[in-house]
Amino acid sequence: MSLEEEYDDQVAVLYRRSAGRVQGFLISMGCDRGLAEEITDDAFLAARRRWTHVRSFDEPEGYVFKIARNERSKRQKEHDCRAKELHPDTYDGPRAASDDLAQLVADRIVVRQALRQLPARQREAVILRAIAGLSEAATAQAMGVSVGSVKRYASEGRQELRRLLADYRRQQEGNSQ
Amino acid sequence: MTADEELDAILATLGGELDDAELGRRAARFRSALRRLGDDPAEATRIDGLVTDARDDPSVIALVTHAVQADPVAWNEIVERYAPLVWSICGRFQLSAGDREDVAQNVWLLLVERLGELRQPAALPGWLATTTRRECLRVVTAARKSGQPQTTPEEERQFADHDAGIDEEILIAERNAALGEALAGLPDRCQQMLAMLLADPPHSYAEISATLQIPVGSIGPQRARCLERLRRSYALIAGGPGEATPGIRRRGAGA
Repeated sequence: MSLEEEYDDQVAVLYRRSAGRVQGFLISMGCDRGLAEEITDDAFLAARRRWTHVRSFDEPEGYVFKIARNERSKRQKEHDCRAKELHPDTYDGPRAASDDLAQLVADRIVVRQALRQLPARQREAVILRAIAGLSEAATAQAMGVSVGSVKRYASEGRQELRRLLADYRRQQEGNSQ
Repeated sequence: MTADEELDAILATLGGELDDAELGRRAARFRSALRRLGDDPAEATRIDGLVTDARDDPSVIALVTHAVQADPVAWNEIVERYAPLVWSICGRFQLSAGDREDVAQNVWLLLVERLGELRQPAALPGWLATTTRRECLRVVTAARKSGQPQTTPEEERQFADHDAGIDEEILIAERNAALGEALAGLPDRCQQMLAMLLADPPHSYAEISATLQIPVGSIGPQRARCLERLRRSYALIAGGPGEATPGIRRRGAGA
């Protein structure tokens, strides 16, 4: 097997492991599915082009997330994948069949909408850490900031999310009484 | 469940995990994208354009580190990047095409031998320039000894002057690398148009109009837009002054 083929295989393994989370990050940031798929594949191809460099990283997926993040902000202007108002009907998740499920769907909508209200960096830090499951170091690499900043952005963002979720719950209880 | 755990549980449901069937399909599609990336230079150029941050570029340092470990991809990239530098220095000594090839070959052979000894990987361009110059002088001296036309003291002085010019050569090589990267980041049509305008001799507006299928009248405005984009991304990559044709400042000039 040639070296180039070996590199192809290594990147394909990384793709299988991380593509779902890269795409999840993009969708959480407001991209529609088609654009998220396109950017995901391109980001891994970019890692392949720089593989001699990227493979030496402790966490090569941090690099993939970084390219995906840059491309999202570039292409968002062209595609206008900016946050549209979310509606329960647009969910591909399970329909509300029970109260619990209804609660979960409602919570998801609230948290998704609350995410959009966060300052961009807090939102990115929360999504990369909690949704995409990146380590603090890989998040720092993807965002081009220090680990300390990642900790601060993520904790501030989560605090704000908890506050918004609690507000919503109180409001809901108020309505049902 | 604390509020924090609850938030985590909700956030976890927002992830984009692909189920096995979809991941299988996507991985197969990605495999063919990898093949296309290897086969199609235009696709490779498009993907390279995504990497617009110079800090992501495999720096000279990373290239040297990998080359020392006998990584053929890194070797190829070093030769590709610096061959124009070696070539242009040979040009200053007015060597014949055959002599130039000999010099270039010697320089790369010497690099293979000595790369491991290079203390500062970032000094690679300087090392290449000095070695090329020395090899050129060797060829010129050998020609003189074998009774071919002798170099006059005047010519010797000119060669000495080349030393000062070599800093410029290095700067130009680095600038060209940054410019090439910026070019690769432009849309295809801009790349095509600029390539046609930069060709030597440049293509006529009529030819450009026919090739790109745009009216002659819109070439001027499109060229201006493409150059503006190039200027902006070049300034970003090179951290340079952002002029369309940046002047090369000679070290020590104006002091």
